[in-house]
Amino acid sequence: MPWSIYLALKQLFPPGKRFPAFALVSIIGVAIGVCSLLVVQTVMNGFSQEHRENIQRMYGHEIVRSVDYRPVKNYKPLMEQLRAVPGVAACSPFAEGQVMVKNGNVPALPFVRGIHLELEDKVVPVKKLIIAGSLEELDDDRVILGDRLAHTLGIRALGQKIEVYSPTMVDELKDDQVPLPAELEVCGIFRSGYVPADENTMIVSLRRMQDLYNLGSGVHGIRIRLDDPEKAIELLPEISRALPKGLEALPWMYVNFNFLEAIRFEKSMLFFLMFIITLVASFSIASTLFSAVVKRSREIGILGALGGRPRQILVIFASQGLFVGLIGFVLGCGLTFLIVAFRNNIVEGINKLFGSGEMVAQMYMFREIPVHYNGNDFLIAAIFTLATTTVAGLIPAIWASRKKPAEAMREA
Amino acid sequence: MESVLCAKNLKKSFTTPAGTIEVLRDVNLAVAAGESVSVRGESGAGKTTLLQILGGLDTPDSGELFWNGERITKRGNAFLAKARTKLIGYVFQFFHLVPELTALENVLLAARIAGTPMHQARAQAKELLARVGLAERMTHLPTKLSGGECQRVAIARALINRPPLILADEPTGNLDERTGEAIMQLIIDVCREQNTALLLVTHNLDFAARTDRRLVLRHGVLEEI
Repeated sequence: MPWSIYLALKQLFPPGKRFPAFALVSIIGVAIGVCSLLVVQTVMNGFSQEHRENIQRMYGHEIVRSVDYRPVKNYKPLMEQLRAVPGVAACSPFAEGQVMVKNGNVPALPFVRGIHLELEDKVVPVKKLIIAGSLEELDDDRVILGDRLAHTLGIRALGQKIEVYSPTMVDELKDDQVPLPAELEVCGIFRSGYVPADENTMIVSLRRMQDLYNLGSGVHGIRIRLDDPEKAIELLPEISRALPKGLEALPWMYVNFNFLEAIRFEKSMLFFLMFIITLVASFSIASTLFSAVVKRSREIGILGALGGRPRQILVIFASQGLFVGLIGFVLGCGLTFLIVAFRNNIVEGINKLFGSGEMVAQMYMFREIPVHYNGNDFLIAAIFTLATTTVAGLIPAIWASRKKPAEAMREA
Repeated sequence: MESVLCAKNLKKSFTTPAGTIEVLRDVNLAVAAGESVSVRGESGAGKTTLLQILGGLDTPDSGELFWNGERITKRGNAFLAKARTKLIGYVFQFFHLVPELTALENVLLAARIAGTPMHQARAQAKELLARVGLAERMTHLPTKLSGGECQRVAIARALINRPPLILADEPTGNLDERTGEAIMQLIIDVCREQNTALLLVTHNLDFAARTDRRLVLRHGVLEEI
């Protein structure tokens, strides 16, 4: 090990000192800065990732629908054409809309999804979301409810029946007919983890939805799964070419586009805000190192007298900033993993303390705080931290290295 | 005999709020290899400044300085630092050991700065520490050593690179009489053993008397006595 690095380490962690104040305070400062930066970035990534996955889970990767929202007739040949587009993995027709349901006297206005019983699971992972019953049991007289919707309706067990009223029944009333609600048996409960969907969605067969909305053999659109969801925009022209006039394709990124952009923007803003914390920690390192350089003025002179070159003296102090940054970063990463691992307990504790209840579920639509580690965030945090702490050490180091040995000894 | 150190017409002055103080007016000096020279003078006469200029730690206002025949006046800090590791060993009044390093590490530091490989430097440092009577105290920090022991470490540090010249600035000034006597004898003995030239700044007439040549710095000029 070069002597200048060895001496820097010894000065940073003096032997026999159980509490090397400068090193510990500086390292903790950097660690807190790095931890704040990474926890915020990891949680923001989680929000973004979770929303992207939810959108894909609920909408598929691409939707084909008519421009004026009219039913799409004769969709089967169209599906064949779409399947032929390179990059398209599977397609499934769908129909969806609002209905009114009642369980006894308890009403609700959920969103109903009519799905093709064989094809839907090839496009969106419905089976994986079911926590009671199964998709195989779904038929034209049965329904699968979101768990929160089931709770709202007071569904205690599978097999209970609910009444479903569709908007087309209004037309029957106009014709002096008495509309009769469809009576559907609950055969399954799903949980997507996305609160609005779990609170407000029920799944029926496509035929049942066609009946409820008087669609005949038509559908509202076709859901598409791609080999690579990230290529949804790239494949848009190719898919659009396969569509007849009056139909359009919509990539999943365009669903809730503003929301995803808002998260991305928020993440960038928070990065800069949190980076300021690291910058403040770096300034404290610079200030403490300046004091150390002044305090060690005679030592700097002695090192010069022993033959230490200005560059080597520079390395002693600059590397102290680098070490503080390096150890602070590693500690900050550890702290990040710890906080992220116990994030839900921490939020639960905060909720208990301030009585804010199911804040995450209500405000952020997730049952738990989503996180997603991104290697790039760690890399950027490492580069910023090491750069700022090294520069913080470098400024007093340059000052120290430019002193003549005699001058340094006189100043001490 | 060739001079390890040669100074010609050195001048140095300091500007203070009270005016300019001319510390060195016209200093001429040559120290031959293996020769011991003492410099005495009143407090504030400029002895330490002279030693710092001769060791390349400070620059003169004018005059010329030669180390082993090479003119070093107006050379950069990096050159002087490198040259010092080969030519000069320093012993200071207040020892100036690095407080975070043990006795052995303090001696090793000088060798490592000079670029001596670790295994070789370690063996030399241990040998030297044993020579100055600190074989049992090598792993002690300076805070755990007495003044005399610290100065012994400083002497070992000055000698580790086997420089042809030792500059000693009142090396016994901070020690009691008995310890000072022992340290002084040690410096003189070790320098003789290694044929190392010694330039000793001291107030002590007795110590000065043990050197080959005795000088006095008076009114900025060196006079032989």
